[in-house]
Parts: sequence; structure tokens; C-alpha cells
Amino acid sequence: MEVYLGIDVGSVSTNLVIIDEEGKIGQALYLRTQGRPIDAVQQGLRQIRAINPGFSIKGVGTTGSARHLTGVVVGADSVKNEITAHAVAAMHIIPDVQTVLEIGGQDSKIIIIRDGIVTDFAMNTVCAAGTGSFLDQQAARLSIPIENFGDIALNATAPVRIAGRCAVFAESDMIHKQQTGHPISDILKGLCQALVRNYLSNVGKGKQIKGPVLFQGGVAANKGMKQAFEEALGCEVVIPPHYSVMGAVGAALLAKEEMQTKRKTAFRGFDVADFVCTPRSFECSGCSNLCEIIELKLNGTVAACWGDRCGKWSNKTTTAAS
Amino acid sequence: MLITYPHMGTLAIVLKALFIGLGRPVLNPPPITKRTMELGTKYSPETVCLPFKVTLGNFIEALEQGADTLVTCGGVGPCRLGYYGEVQKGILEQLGYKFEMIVIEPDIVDVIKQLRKVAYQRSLREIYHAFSVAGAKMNALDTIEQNLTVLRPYETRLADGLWQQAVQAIDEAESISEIHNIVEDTVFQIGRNQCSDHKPLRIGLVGEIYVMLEPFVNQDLVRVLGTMGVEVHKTMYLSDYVRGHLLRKREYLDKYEELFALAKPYLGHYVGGHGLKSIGHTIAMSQENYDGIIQVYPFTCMPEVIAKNILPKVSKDMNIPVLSLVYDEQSGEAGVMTRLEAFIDLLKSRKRFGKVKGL
Repeated sequence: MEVYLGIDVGSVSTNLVIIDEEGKIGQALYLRTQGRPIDAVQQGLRQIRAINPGFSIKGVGTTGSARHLTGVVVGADSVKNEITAHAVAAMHIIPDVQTVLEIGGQDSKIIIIRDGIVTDFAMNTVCAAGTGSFLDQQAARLSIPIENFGDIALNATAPVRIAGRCAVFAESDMIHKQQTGHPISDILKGLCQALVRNYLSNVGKGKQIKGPVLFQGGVAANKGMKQAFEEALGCEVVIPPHYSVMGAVGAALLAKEEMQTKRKTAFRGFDVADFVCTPRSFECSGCSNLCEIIELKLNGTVAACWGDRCGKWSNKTTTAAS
Repeated sequence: MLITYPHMGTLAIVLKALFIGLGRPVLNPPPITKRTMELGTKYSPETVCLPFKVTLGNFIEALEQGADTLVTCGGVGPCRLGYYGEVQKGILEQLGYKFEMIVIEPDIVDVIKQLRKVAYQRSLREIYHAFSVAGAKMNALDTIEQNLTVLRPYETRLADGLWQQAVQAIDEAESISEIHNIVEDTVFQIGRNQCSDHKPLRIGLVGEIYVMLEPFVNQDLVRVLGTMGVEVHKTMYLSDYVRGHLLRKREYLDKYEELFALAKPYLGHYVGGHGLKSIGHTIAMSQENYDGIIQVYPFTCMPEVIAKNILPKVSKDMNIPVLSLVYDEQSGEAGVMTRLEAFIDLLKSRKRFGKVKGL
């Protein structure tokens, strides 16, 4: 079967999605990045190969904060930022979507879409309060499995008010509330409301949030967050079936679009999963810029260099994407 | 007396020519590096803006190499920069450096008074000549950079090469005629390589002058956008500042009046720095059919924070997308790249599908 592969390598999760010629999602993998993006991608490729040995990849797209690195390793046809990828995926699922709320591991974004075009977007600027990592951390502190966080929050009867401006203050506020005897469910619901408040006043500041509103990213799994968003916005918030891998869906769709005009994919093949990838970084002393150069070796040969301003290193090697 | 001054884009070349012409030895501060940033940040108050930190770093590195006279600018109005010279002087004295600090206020009488101190043995004719050469270098650099704007989107490497070559030649040039020749040559080269049927995205750059002009601080924004195939028009060059704020030339005052009138429905009075101009330029450039605006400023910059909060309304009314980028020593390159790429995608799809009403 001929398919397209989308890879989204974020701070917390690495997602791989396979779509077919019609854009239907065939398979979706959600793996933890655990600080080793290349290993995570290789592991994902191995899994896909094991389940579907008959797949022939017609195009590959990457996104996420490790999109460039991943693009070089696997040989990507399209390397796109997360905002575009999420917007493309959202419009694919709900063509008339007008607002996309996306909360991932380290960042949160809002994308405003009108008539099928992204007209405005924003990302969290200075603080990661309210993103997946913070929720993870709080769940761990209360020894609640993150999967149960949302259900417990839904049981709240009188949610407490928590200061959500800053992760550190939110945490001390939560501890204070817990020490004065508030039930956990009320605290968790209060936290969800605080994070939504913070999101809307920080990321969503000045944006016209119109329905249909799509909520995606790992945090969309949290039912407490969905409910808090619906209460704050006063409208229904839709969570797409593949909410946690929407970036990868978008990357696959972008690869498919790219391949309309390209003949042959740059994909190195599933063998990449077994390549020995050795990245190394060093400071170039060629001039006063002292650029931090990253060199990536695949099976012992230099596949690409980047990070230089002048092109001294990046010109030496041709990247797989070009 | 060994004179030094901070970096801000090509400022060092101009000041070097000026002080050498006035008969004084100069020491260019070492180019800005991570070390400059670290030194400046270490000895600065935490919430002060990035220009303060980086220029302090410049001064420390120059003092380490033996400079003993620091030249910096003062300022008037609500922007904190006007007071930076005094505060930096205090910090550097506490660090134990021995030096003299010359703070030049944006007032031509004060400039002449201060510079007479530096150039007391020189005749008026010699002083005039020094200013002419420095002025010619400044104008030459700005003219070349402006011309490169249209070449960069499709000939990035060539543009870089021409720029580096021209900067070096202008730095070394001694006479005004030599400088003119370099400009002529370079502009000719640019024209020869230009292709006229190319229609790239055009972005206007508004915001605070230091961040706009110093590539180390703005993470090489103009070049990065150039490699993405975008034509970037800065709304401010060093020569604009000198002619407008120092020499108060008629055409610049008229231009300011124009921007003031445009900005009036949104902001009725001066807020310091370039805040009002950021709004005026955004409106003017939307009328000139630019595809988008990028506002740049250092974290905690008060005038630009005011502008930033007004720009969404301007953006909506004028139907032109605006992206604000805030810089400080913590600025991660990845975050900036993601926003730039997404912004370019947004502009491209708008261009392709026609501009959407009621953004």
C-alpha cells in the first residue's frame, strides 16, 4: 500500500502517523521522546515496519521542535513548523474550523482560521505554566496517574481558585489549598480553570475565538481541561479523535501536498531505524560569531551540518531534504 | 586618550572614522559574542533592557583592552535609554575601571560642545572634514544595505558577499570620493544581478532601533528572512536617526508629522522611543501594500510595549498581519524560527488566496 508518513517530534512526545492517498489516517503512534529524539523516531519506524511490512512510503513530512534534525535523519520531503502542521490537520478533520487550541508538552498555541486560511496565531511567550509538562508534574506530586487527572477533576463540587499566572506560584497555591483541607477533585478542577484563564488571557489575548473550536495536543486528553475551556468560552469544544498526534497528521498531509509536484521521495527507507546516528556539536572558531555547529553522522559518514551563520559548514554537505 | 563606543550594526565604522578624523586613537570594541552578553548581563540590573546589557558588555571588553574614554549617547523623553550612560558609568566605576565617559545628548549644540573637548587641537576645517567623512560612510553603508534588500531574497549568498566586501572597503576608505566609488560599484553589482520578474513577500520591520540594527541581538533577522525568500524593509537606519533626531532635517520632521497623523486615531501623543512610529509605519506600509509587519523590541521596552498592545487593533483595521518579537538574553532561536516560519506560511497563503476581510 502506498502511504505518507508524518513525524512530529516534540519536547515530550514523538508521534508518527501514516495516511493513505485519500488522507485517511491508517496508523498513529504516540511515543515518549525522553530527551532522545533520534532514538524515539527510530523506535517508531521499527514499530511501523513490524506491523505493516508491505507499506511503501511515498512521502515524509516532519514537524515539531526537532523537525530539522528528524528531517535530515529520515530524509523528509517537507519540513514544516508546528503551527502550520496543526492548522492543516485541523482543517482536514473539520473543514470549517475557525479556532484551534493546542496545548502540548512545552508550548501552547492558538490558531485563528477564517475561510480555510490561517489569519492569526500566537504562542505562549515567557512561561510554560499550563502546558502538559506542568500538569504531568502536578499529577506526579499528588501520585495521581495523569490519565485519571481529568476524571477526578470532573467530580469537583466547589472548584477552588488557584493563581495560574506562574507555575511556581500555582504549585504553592495548590499546596496551600491541600493543607487547608480542600478535596483533591476541587483542587484539580481549580487548577484546570486557572490554566484555561491563563491561556485565554496570555495566548488568546485579543483573539476572536469563534466556533467550531478544536482542542488538540496531548493536554486535550484531560477532560477537566475540556470542561474548563467550554465553561470559559461558552461554546462547545471539539476534541478530534487523533487529538494527540495532530501535528504528525498535518506533517503527513503537507508531505502529500509536496509530493504532488515532486517525483521521488527523499525518504531513506525503513533501514534508517537501524542506522547508527551520532550527532556532535562544537564551537566554530572561524570568526567572532562562535556559532555552535551540529554535525550529524549516519553510519559513520557526515550527513549534514547546521547551526552556522556563514554557510562554511552547512554548504559542505548536502542535506537529504534538498 | 583611547576612545571606544558600543556596537550597533555599522555604528562602529562611522564613529571610528569620526574620531580618527578628530585626531584621536580609537579602539573598536571586540565584536559582540556570547561573552559580551554574559559580561553585560552579569553586571546589569535584571529587568533593564537588552541594549543596556550588551553595550555594557562592549564597554567592559574594550576597557579590558585598554580603552580609557567611553562615548555613548544620552536621550530625552520617557525611554530609559537617556539615563543609561550615567548608570553604566556608576557600574563600571564600582567594578574598578578608570575611564572618562562622554555622554552625547541628542542635540547638535551639545554634540559640538562635547566633541570640541575631544578635538581641542583641531581646526574647524579639520573638524568639518572629519564629520563629512564619517557622514559619507554612514550614508554609504545605509544606501548599500537598502539596495541589498531587493537582492537578498533570491541571491542570499551573493548579497552577503557584496555586503561584507563593501563594509570592509568603506571601513578602510579615507576620502569621500573613494567612498562614493564603492557605493557606485556595489549598487551597480546589485543592479546587474537583480531579476525584475521576481515578486517575493515584502515585510516591513518596525520597532526599537537597537534591536532592529544590531544583527547579533536580533539573531540575524534580516538575513534569516532573506534565506526564506522574503524582502525585508527596515523602517529605520542609522542615517535616519542622525538626520532626524540630531540634525533635525526638514524632510525627516515632515515624515514624522506624517506618521504622527497616521497614528493619531490610535495613539495621540509621543510615548518615547519609537513606539509612535511603529504604529505610524504599520499603517503607512499597509497602504503601500506590504504583505506583513514584524515588530521587534527588547524585553521590558516601555514605548514598544505600548505599541504592541495597540498593534492588534491597527492590524485588524488595516488588514495587515503583525508579528511582535521580543528579545532578551534568554531568547531561544528555535522559538523565534517557529514563529517566523508560521508567519511566512500565513502571509504566503493570504497572498495566494487573496486577502481575507475582517482579519
